[in-house]
Amino acid sequence: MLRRLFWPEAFDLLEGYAEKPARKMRVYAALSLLSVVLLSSVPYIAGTFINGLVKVSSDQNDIDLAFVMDTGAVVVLIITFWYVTTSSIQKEMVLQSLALTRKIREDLGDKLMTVSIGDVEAIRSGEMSAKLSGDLPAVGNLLSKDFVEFFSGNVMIVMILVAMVFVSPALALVYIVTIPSTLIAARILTRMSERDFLTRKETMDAISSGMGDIIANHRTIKINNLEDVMMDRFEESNRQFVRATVQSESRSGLMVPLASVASNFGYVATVLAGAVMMFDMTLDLGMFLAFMVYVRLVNKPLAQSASAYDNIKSETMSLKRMLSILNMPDEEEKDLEDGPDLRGSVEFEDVRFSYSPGKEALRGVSFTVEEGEVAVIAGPTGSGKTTLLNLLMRFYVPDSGTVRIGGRDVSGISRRDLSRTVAAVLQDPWVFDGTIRENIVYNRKWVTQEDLDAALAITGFEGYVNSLPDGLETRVGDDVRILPLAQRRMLAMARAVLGDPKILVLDEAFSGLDPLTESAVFEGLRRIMAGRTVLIVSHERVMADCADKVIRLESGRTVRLTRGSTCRRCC
Amino acid sequence: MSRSTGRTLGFYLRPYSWEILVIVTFQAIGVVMQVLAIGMLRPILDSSVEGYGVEYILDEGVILLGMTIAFAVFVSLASRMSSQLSLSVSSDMRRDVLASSLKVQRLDSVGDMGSFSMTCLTSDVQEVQEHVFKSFSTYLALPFLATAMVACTYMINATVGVMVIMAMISVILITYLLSRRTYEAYAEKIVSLDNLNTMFKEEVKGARMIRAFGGKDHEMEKYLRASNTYGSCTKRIALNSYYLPSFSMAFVWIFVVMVYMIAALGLSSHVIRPTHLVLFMQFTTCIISSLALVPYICLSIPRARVSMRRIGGVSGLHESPVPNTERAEDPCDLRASGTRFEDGFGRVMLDGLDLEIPRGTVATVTGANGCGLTELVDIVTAFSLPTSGSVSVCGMDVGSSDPRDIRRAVSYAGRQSGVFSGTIRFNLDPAGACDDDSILEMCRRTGFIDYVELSEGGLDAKVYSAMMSGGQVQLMALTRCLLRDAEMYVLDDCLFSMDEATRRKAVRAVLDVRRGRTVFFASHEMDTVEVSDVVFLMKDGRIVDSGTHERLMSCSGAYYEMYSRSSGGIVC
Repeated sequence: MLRRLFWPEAFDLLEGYAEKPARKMRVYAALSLLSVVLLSSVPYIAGTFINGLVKVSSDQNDIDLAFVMDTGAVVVLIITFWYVTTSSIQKEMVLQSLALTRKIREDLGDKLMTVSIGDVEAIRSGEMSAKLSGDLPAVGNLLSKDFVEFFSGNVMIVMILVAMVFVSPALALVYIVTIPSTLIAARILTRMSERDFLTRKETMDAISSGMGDIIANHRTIKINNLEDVMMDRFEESNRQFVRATVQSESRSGLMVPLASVASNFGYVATVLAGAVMMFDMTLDLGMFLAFMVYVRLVNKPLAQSASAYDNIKSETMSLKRMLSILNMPDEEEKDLEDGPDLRGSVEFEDVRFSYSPGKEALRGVSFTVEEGEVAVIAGPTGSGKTTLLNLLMRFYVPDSGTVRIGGRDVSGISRRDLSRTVAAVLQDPWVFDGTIRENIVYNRKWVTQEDLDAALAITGFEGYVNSLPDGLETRVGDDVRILPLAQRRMLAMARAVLGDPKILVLDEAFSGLDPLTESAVFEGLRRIMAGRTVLIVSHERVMADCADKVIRLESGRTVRLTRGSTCRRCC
Repeated sequence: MSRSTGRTLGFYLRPYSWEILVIVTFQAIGVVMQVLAIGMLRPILDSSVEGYGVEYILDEGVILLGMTIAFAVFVSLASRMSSQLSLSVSSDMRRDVLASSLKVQRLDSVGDMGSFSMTCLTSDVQEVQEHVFKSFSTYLALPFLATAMVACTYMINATVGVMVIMAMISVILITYLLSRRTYEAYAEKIVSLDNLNTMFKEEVKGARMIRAFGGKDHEMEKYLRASNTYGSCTKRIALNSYYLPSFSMAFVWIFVVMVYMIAALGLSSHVIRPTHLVLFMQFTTCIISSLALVPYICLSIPRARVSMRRIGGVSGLHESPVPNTERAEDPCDLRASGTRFEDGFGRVMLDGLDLEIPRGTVATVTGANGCGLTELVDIVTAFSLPTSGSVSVCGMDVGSSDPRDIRRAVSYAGRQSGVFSGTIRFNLDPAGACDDDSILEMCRRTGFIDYVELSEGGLDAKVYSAMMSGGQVQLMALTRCLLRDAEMYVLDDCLFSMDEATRRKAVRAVLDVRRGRTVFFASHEMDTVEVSDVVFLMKDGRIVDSGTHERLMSCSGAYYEMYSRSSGGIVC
């Protein structure tokens, strides 16, 4: 309990994550202690000074100017020392906090790319945005601002109390008696507000994801004239947020006024007691003055600590939310070695998989596709075709059974090797904000213009690109400047072909294309299919004609494996 | 097309002028109480030093206690009300930001609003809310307090009073000048935050591709660039502002020491009485604790201003006024004559299109990808306007009608249908117009019932985008579209992700429940052309042929080529 006054819970959490800032903090805490001790002696010096003057003036002596100057110089020095230590501590803390938030930011980016696909896709739109603009700066403030304020505030309070006792034990007793009652009240209030902070953050998330929803479904909303409905829905979460905040603020917001009430009662009590003591001649003017300055001075750290404590509470929540993402398990061990070039065969052996417990998407799938074969994976919606590819691309790991590429278990192949061997055109190709060239080349910087031209020609994307005034440099995007589906597919195919993969995976890559475009794209693909293993996932029967092999899935099971020319009849 | 009225904070505060008045009054009373409480020190000290007696001291003490309690009550009330006020203002802002991003009617004016309004909602509103709260709960009392304190000091001793004023002015000035350096960096920081937001979105949406292509290092490089820009802005702000509070504190303290040196000299020459010194000390420490807030104000005002400008820019956004819809009697639900349309890249996508779809027909417009079909659908649903020529939908001219009226007459399901995070019921019937029975009945017809029944909770099951497959989303969109009672159903290539059996059932459902209304398929699926009363073949932005499927198969070479392949499959 006492430890918590100087070492908030958040730092225990931080120590687990980043040791350095937490360790440094101990050093700086000690330094600030020294400067605060010095600073709190200033009113005492001033009091002695006044007493000296009063004595001098009552003795009708002349003022010793040198004494005045000396006292002034000492005080100025103390203040300067305080400023220098405080600001250097603050600077260090700011730098620490910048380094920490930077680390978190980078880890966050890194994390999003290493956690399993299921975890990423469960992140609701808008959630990341709230984390970035709300939680991250909050964690930064924790180090750069609130911890320093909380710590130095508490040290200051303790030091002032010590100084008070030193100046006049009787007065100090009177003052201190007024404090605990308010502290207890404050403690109860913060207990309650902790829960409120949580609801507040949650409702904020609801607001953000509501907004994300609206932006993502702009067209659907407009076409159904749902503006009002969506506004109502948003208003509901908006209202909830206000309600939660009012609740938490009406409790925690009382902290600061309460602290001031505490010090004001202390003030009244001291003034009265002091006046009585002066009347009894048990206290002189200088010490009374010093004490009154202490009473005034304690106000600020009291309010400061109270509000910093409050902030630390909510910032700890933010930190926890951040850590919950940062501590998500990685999908794979990072230290997989790159191996020799893989062959292009694909093998599934009694593979079972379920996305959520109890609902098996694959219930024992077995098949082999030899290198250079073209296989069609057919089956109705929901039969597990896409799941099959998810496992092949190692987006998910099978519950039991093995997936092999080139005879090696997929789970032992490094991501780099895997991505060089397998290229996929997924159902809904992703086009990011950037030029068409950037979208096709992506991370393969070594690609030449000839390679690019060849890929464009082969996929039939050439014609469309040439019809654009800016050609390959045309900017395209995900929200705006959206390419038509057919063109997105072609782009994705060009992207896949460019890497010269041994295995090409096409997930419903032809649906939504008109028959003419489809056959044009297919003609191109036929040219590049030579010598590669090709897996075509399709609910269309039409693709079966040119396959060496048809794998038919029904509710997560391989129901039929047909070979070569026979498939024309069976499908 | 859209312009902004640039709403200011004043605009949002205006509805709450009464509350503000009350807060100001409370704060003023609080200040008066505080000043009086310090002033009471004087008679108490006098009674004590001059030796009037303890009963005087106690009497005066009771008055002092009363004042202190009053002070605490008024300040707490003001703080509570400020918190309410700031919340109301921020919730108004959020509503406005959202409303105006919903207000954008045409697709070309949506612009890059996505992550911009996102940052606006989360970060900017928060910033302004905090600023409003602090302004009314704390900063507001400051000028009152400073003036009162200075006046009191001045009345006791003019010289000391003037010095205190000088100290105040210089600390405010210095802090203001120093804090100016962060203004620019702050504006930059917000922009880089937008970029970082976009990056995060890409990492989530492109998760599969990044993994499939081993593009982690590439993405990380891009991400780090955005992250570092943001980081360097934050750093610039932090390094230019961290020392301000303690700097101004130290500055004021040193100044005060100086003042006391001089006052002490006055004391020795009997110009100032010792009790005055105690009073001065009290007043000045009070002033100092208020002045300690100045750096915070200097730092928060520009932030709030930048954020407010962004909010104002979005929330005031409105489109040029839409004329009242005039509805003509038209036997055709869709009529295009001489329609031309140029897309954003400047390519002619519709080139003198003429098309008539009579009321009550089931029509398909088909053509190869890039023939202009998507653009035609965008115009029919009033998301784009024709460059020249006219399109009228259910008797309303697209160019001169309120888009909302057109969309009321038209029910749409398309390839870009999304999923709302919420219940299945909300996704099917967002307007809440149908009862469960009719929703379930429609699901049974379209075949979406399979998904509903498999989901835990039925219609109440919560769904979000990533958990549904392409075919399921399309089927849900179709069910939603058919549930609406519209004059024309526009089905824009919304069946392609379904397997054959599902698709056939879905098309059947469209024909069964269309209530005799017009159906406009924009698609090249075999299933739809076969059931259509009339099929239009589109090429290069024009209708080149029309008729029943059978007629076109026998007369149109281009049409035959498309659909003979489609039925027979790709010939290897």
